[in-house]
Amino acid sequence: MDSTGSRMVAVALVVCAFAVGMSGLLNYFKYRSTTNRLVAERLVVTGKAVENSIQSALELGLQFSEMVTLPSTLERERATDDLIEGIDVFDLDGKLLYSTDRLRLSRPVPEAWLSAARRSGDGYWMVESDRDAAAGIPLRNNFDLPIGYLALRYSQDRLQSGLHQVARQLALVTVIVFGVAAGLSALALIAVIRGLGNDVVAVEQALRAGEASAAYSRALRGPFGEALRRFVETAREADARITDLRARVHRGRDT
Amino acid sequence: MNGSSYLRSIYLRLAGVVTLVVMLALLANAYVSHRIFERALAPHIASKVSSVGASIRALVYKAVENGMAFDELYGVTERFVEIKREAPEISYIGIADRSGKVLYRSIQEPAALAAHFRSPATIELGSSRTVVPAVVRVDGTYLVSMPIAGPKGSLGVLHLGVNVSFVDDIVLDMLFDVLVVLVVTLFFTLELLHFIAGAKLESSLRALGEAFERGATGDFTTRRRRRGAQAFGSLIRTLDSILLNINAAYASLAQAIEAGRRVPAHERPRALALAHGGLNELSGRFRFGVDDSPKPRDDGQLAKVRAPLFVFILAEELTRSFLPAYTKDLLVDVPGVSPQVIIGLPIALFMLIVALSQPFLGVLCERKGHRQTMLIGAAIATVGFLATAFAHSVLDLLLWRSLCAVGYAMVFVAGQAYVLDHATPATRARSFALFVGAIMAATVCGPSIGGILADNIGERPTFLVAAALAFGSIFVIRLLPGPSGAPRHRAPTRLPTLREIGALMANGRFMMVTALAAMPAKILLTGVCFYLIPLYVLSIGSTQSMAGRILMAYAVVMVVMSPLTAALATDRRRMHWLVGGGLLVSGLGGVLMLAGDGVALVFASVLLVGLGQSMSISAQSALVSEHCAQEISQMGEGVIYGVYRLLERIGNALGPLIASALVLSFGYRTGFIVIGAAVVACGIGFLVATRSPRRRSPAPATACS
Repeated sequence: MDSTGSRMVAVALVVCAFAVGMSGLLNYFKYRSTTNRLVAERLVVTGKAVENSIQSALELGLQFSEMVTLPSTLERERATDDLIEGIDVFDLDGKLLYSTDRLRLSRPVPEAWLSAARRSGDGYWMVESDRDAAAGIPLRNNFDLPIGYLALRYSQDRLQSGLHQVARQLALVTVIVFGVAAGLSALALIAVIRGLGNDVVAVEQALRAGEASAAYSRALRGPFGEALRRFVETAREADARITDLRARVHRGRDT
Repeated sequence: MNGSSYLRSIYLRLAGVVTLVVMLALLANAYVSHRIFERALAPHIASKVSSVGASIRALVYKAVENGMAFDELYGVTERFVEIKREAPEISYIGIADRSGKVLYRSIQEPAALAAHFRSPATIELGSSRTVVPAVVRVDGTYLVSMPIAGPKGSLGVLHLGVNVSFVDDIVLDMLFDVLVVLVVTLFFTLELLHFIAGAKLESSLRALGEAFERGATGDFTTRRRRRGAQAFGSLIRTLDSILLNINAAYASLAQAIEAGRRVPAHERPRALALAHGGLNELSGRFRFGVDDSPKPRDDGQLAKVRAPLFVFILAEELTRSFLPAYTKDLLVDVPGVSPQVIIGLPIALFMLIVALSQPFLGVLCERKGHRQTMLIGAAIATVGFLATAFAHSVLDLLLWRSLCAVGYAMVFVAGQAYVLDHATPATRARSFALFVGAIMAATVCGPSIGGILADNIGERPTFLVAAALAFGSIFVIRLLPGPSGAPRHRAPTRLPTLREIGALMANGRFMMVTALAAMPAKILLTGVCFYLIPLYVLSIGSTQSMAGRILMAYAVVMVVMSPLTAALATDRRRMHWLVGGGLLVSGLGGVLMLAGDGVALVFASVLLVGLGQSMSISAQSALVSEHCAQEISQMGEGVIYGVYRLLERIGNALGPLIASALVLSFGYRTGFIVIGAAVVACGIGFLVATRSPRRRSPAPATACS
């Protein structure tokens, strides 16, 4: 049974690694998606404020591409949240119109932003990237027609460091839970196998002790009881008949 | 001792204890994670709420700058309602004056919050200049308090509260996935027990059972000693020694009688003659001597195919819940073909390739051997999954999915042939149960885990996981015996001729089972479960994990119900009712969508589909031999079942195409309803057709592959 025991330990290790590992993975991804959602929604609140300013300017008859006060509004809103690194406004074709970072105006909008913005429709979008992480919303005029997009760039590094810290904590918990679970389930599996071994030993003891013994009565009540009874009865019958014949042979010789 | 039932009870006990420990571990993990989430998310919640607060504060400043009195602002509570709609997790918004008295509120605050607002520390906040305020927990609320200061000093404090159940809801949402992991773990444990300990335990129990049985039936012959360690070696040796002793006693008795018989007849004692008669009687009643009969085939070889099949099919099943959504992301304009049809094409093409290639692959398998065919199939599928993960558009996706289909068909055909070659007519049904069991276990585990992975790590990485599984299956396939280890005791596979296919398609009895039952059942399965459900569930705002859970529910119903319904299929009349009733029940699953929208209805629909399919699946194939006994005697069982499976699998390919055409014309719900209604109609048609008086006298039911 030793080899079976080691196999059971292997089963316990693999099963617990799978279950607890999946659970740990789920915890991490749930945390990450919740954090990302909270960050995106937090940035979108600021974005909505900018959108309100743009719509107010459009109501006054200003062109979307000619809002002279918009850069200062963007700068003011950027200062409201230390996570925001910059705010960019670009048109439907991806041409950057306004930015809190003037140097960016000469560069094209990252392709990932444009495709994420186009895919998102009316909702907000988010691009996770080391260099161009941003959350954004579509901009609409007073007739509810799309005129462009607003992107709020944020520091991915700051988020990542928090994420890594939680990941470490979750990993530690997962490893501890795995260790305990694997140990417990290995013990439980070995106990079940040992129970099976005990049933077998009981049969062996019954065979050695004979039919009149308490061990035999006990074994008859076990899982192998019926098989044992039939085996013993047949063996006893054969043995008795052989003994009887041998006695006759001996009697014959003696006479 | 019934070896198989005892072994099953051992397995269930082993799997039960592991599942119990794993369940406790998952609960402990969820509890501790909850604490970590609470601590880690609180600052993020505070920051988000602060941003919302800043926008409210800006409005207040604007109003006050315009000369409105701070305690007479207009439209504040209306704005609170708007904000709660935009940020539903914010449970309370209130503005208090410098004394802590609440002037504007979204709802009446609990007493604990009111007391907190009036506390000196909170009032003190009104004059602070903190940019991002700290979050404090008051009663059941995380509270963020922000000062409102005008040009003439502090005006009051803005309070925003988030109910602590916000984190509970996140963890609760995760518990659904944890439950899925638990169910999958149970099946995974059983498979692993089979793989790691099953063969050894099974052979040990079989050896033990044999030793008991030999003694019980009076077979005391000696046999060659078994090689290798047995789990119950000591008991088996004890049993063997008892048998050996009796055999030796008999041999010694026979020797003594023979020695006595060597003396002249007139000198022989009369008792010796009686003993000789007794000896003959004894050898008639029991078996003695040496047993030289050939060693029975080792069933352990058969069980070896289960693990590779499980791992390989798990790879394909992993993609089930998100493949349509993945295809949708890769859509390109194809002139003259609607996007809905294109989304269904990868599934349809996969099924068609599997259907059409199987007869040819059967012949290939005979040439190359099971192991070689499975290895090639798994390698092709690995490449297919890898390439699928990096697909550019739906056009190259079709090519990569075709590779997966060829690989799948090769492994499936070779696995099936392996089982056939290692089973005797007596063990055929049990052997196929092993084959089907591995597939069903993969069907339970794959879609749910695939959905969870796709939602969390993304669809492309999940295809990489599928590729890793298919690649991993290669190592398990290598453990299978080579060509010499596969005994053959069946006729070589032969492709059905076109004439035979035509004759069968013109045969009313054959087509009644095939076209009225088998094909509609498969159209419903692939059309509804593989195409409509993954897309519909996403279209109503749910997730791929949910689609996976729903498909898992289908598989669980199949696993639980199929053995029960198969046991009911004892005669032809019952088979007719099971097939017809199964079609009606599964069709009603589709029609159920008439009741409305929502995930709960899809769940109920899938449970009915699973129940209906489990009712009809075993009886269907048994009915083929019931109805086509004459054709089987003419063309052979292989040809009849080959054509039956071919048409059935063409139903698999048609399902997504029919469903996509229905979605294009009428939408998702109508797709469910129309397919369901058509299957109900087939069920009624089948029951009517099988009630006709032209029925022949019943023949004994035989399950065929």
